[in-house]
Order: sequence, then C-alpha cells, then structure tokens
Amino acid sequence: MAVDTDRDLACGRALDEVWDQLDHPTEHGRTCAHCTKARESLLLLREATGLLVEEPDPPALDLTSKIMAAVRADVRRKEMFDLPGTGIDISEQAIARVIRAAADQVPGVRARRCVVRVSVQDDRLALSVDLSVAVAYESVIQDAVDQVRLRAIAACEQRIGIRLSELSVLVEDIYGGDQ
Amino acid sequence: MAVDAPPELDDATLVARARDGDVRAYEELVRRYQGAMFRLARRMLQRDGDAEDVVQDVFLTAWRRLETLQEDAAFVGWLYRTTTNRCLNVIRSRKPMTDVGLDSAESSLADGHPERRAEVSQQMEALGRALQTLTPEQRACWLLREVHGRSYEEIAEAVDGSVTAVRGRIARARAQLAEVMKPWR
Repeated sequence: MAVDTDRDLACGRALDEVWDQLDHPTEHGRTCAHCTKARESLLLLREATGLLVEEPDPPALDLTSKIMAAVRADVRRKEMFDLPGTGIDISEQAIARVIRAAADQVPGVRARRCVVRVSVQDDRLALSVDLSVAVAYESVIQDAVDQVRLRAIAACEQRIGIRLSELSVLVEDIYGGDQ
Repeated sequence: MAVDAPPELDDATLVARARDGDVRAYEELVRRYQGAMFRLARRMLQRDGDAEDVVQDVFLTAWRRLETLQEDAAFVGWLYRTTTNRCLNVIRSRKPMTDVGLDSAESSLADGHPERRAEVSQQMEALGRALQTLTPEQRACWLLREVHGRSYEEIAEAVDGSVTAVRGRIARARAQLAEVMKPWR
C-alpha cells in the first residue's frame, strides 16, 4: 500500500516501494542512483532495528519482584468458612487450587478457571464447582474429562474433606498440535 | 520456584488461573512480559525511571482488571495497548522542551564482544537519537510494529487511530529514521 510520505525519491519511486523490495530490487532499483542510496539507508535502518529487537533487559532491574510485591499486597482474602468439625478456615481459592492441581495431574489436561461455591446440604457442607480446562490436541476428550472428574472428587474428599456434590467440566480450548 | 505450576503453560491458561486469584500464575505472566514492556517504555520515554513506573503500574492495573478482560488470549495485546497509552500520557504531561537524557537508554548488547562494541553502540545510538526526532505517536507505531512485531490492527487500537493512519505513521517514521541513519557511515 502506497503512503504519501512527501519524501518520495527524485526518480519518482516511493520510499515504501524500495522498502518492500529491499532484498529483491527491481531492474530500476538496481540501476537507479536514488533508489540505491535509499536502499543503503534502509538496510542500515533494518540492521539497527534488529539490534533493538534483540536488546536484552537491563540486568540490574528486578521489575518482576517489585511488581509481585505490589500485587501480593493487593490480594484480598476471599470469603472464609469453617471446615466441618475442624474449626479450620479455608478459602474458596485454596479449594480451587486443590481442584486445579488434581486436574493438572491428568496427562494432557491444563486446568484453567475454577469457580467454587460452598453450600449446606443435609447439615453438611457441599461443594459445587465449575472447572474449565484446556485439553491437549492428541487427547480423547471424554476420557480426559472422566479422569478429571475422578481425581477432583478424590482430591476434595481426601485433601479437603468436603463432598464434591456438583462438578461441571468445560473443555474450552485445545493446545498443542499444529499451532 | 512455583512448585505446582509447571513451566511453559500457555498464556490463556495462566490468565485464567490468575483471574481466579492464583498469584503464582500471574507471576509467570509478569516474568514473561515485563522485559518487553520495559523495553517499549524506555524507548518511548528515554528515562529508565519513568519506564519502570509505567511498567509497574501497567502490571498492577492488569492484575486488578483481570476480571474485566473478556478474552484470556488477549492479555498480551492488552499489555501493549496499556503500556503505549501510559507512555503517551507521560509524554503529554511532561513540560515542553524538557531535556531528555539521551544516554539513559544505552544498550548493553555488545558487552563481552569488544570488537563489535563500538560499531553496535554507534548504530544503537544513532537510531536511539533518531527515534527521539519522531512524534510520540509515530515512535509508538514504529516501535510496536518493527521492534515488537504487533499487527497493524492492534497498533491502531493502541494509539486510537485507523489502520491507514498507522501505516502512514510507520512509513513516515521509517523515512525519517532512514534519513537520520544516513550520515554516520
């Protein structure tokens, strides 16, 4: 696409044309003095640009820790509730972590969002969970979902001690394969 | 570091987890992209301190706004857009004619290669100086396209312009940069 740069060359060619044909100049481009000069400048620019692209991060700067310190200070504790019979508080976030970790153990599954709701059924706490996952390209989706279900139920009972009364698993993405 | 977060998870997975409040997933995203955002900001602003402030602000804002991010895969585009916006705002809020420290963004690329050092630093310096002759919007468009490889559509969103305007700015930027690059050889 031609753009008016008001810096077009004396031979009538646009600088954009020279740029587009930088590695494969036309017959005119090879012989024209204006185009040749422009091409040399553009080649220099491209080389210097390459240096900018590869420019490493300044080593002394520890931005990640600074950012994460601010983020951690910002983290609000989510709603807490009692674990039955233990007097121990646990957060929905902590439960989500346990369920995600269980799902991650299934080969070819990556847990994503995990929304946990706690309710009381027959005087006992029960969990209702919406879990979304990404599944590897080569996986059999139904098998993967069944495995996730089994492991999530087991993890809730063994590690948290609350019955997982409802679990919906949504496969929202495929990863790997031809990307 | 992160015990139960295996490395090399895709961005969308990390964003989804971070949105659930998983701080370690977010840390991985920060680790992945803070360098690129910093390099963009320091070339825009020419002052490391300002660039650092912008990048910290961008990532803290991103953390707070994860809930409102519609598409998990759109995270990186959002980072570039927000970083660009913040940089343009910083420049607009600066007093006119402020003397910018051109030396602050010198590269350490050639460290350990003495024979290349002079040539590399000469080129980088020339380009770094040339970049400062562009308008901030041209500079943003050129950096996003040529150094960070973003799409024209994405750049148009980042600078609040049309794709045609972005192409025009990049072409003008390239012409001007090529012009300034010429004399030193």
